[in-house]
Amino acid sequence: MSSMGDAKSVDPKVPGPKIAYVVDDDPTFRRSLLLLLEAAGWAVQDFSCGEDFLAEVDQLRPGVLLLDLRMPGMSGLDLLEKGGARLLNFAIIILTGHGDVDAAVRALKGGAVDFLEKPFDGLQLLAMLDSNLAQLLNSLEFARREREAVARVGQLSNRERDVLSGLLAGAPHKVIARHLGISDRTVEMYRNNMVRKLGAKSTNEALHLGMLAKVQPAEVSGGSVQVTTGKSP
Amino acid sequence: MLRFCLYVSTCRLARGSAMEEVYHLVAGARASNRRLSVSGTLIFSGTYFAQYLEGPEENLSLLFQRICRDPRHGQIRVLLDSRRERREFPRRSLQFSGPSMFVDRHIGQFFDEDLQGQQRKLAVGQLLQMMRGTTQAIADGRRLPPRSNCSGSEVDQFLLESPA
Repeated sequence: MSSMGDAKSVDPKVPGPKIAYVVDDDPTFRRSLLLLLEAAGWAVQDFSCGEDFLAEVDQLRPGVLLLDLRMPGMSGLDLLEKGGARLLNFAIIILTGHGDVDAAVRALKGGAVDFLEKPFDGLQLLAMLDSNLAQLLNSLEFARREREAVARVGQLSNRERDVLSGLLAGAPHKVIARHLGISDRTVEMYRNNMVRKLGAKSTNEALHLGMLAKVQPAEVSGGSVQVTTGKSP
Repeated sequence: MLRFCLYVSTCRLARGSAMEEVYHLVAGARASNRRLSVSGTLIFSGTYFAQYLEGPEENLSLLFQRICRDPRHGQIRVLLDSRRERREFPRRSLQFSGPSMFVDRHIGQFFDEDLQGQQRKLAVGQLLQMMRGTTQAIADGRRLPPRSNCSGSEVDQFLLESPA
């Protein structure tokens, strides 16, 4: 099995090979899937059981996971259960020989995004893989930006955060100053520090970062600002 | 007493840009639903919408009238419309999950086949289970929420994810 790099250093914006993982106990089925996907330009890594996949999961790059529901030993649903949040790097599509709606519901609840009954149409599968991979990369990229924004906001002092919170509520400096019991000039200073610490090029960019980090806007009512310092709910 | 309803509809948005537009739709709907204290969940399966809504009687009627006039919906079929005491989806003003061919086929039944009686009841129950399942998976952190292309506005993204 070839190593496809370190999952932690992947930038989803950089186009890499489209990666699919296949977990199925049937070697004939794996082989035919491999041929189909590789012909369509996918890099495929296959596993004959869920245990093997889970043993390597933390080293795998983001991709689509085609998971058989019924396997001896660990079933597809068991794998979802055991994998939990470690599977967030994958768009999981369940493959099954039985169109069992209850199983589909359990799979969706376990984090799967789609469910395909065998035998299936190859073109249909390829279309499903493409849209799910695109969706996954968008979600991962967004999650990465969110984490980065949270880390940067974490560097702010309480006062800088209060000013950010006030600005997010659309409050003018004067109103923020009155509420915090400081001068307009001091608010301006905190704002400048805040923008600089966030590594933002403008106040607008800083506000975007604040939104991404889910900083709650201060409550503005009747010209007064109620600043809610602390974590968002 | 709260009114709740579940409907399915055909999506009239162009295939290529539909996902992008649904994000905008959801962002706007989140804000207005919050004002109306309506909560619920929406699945956009690619071809169809399935939406469960619950809230105060008058607000829900108002919102539903608006939905019926919305040109983004084609045919609308109401599957459930009744009253209940407690919310089924209290956590967010509107949870949203993305395309699924399986869900798509399931919703398709309500348009392509003339489901009657017990059969219809079963299919409605199953759809609701799928909506609960995906909503739960996102809430539990077992699945990432769907996102639009990151070139899009982050402010919209914020609206999509801000708590109810």
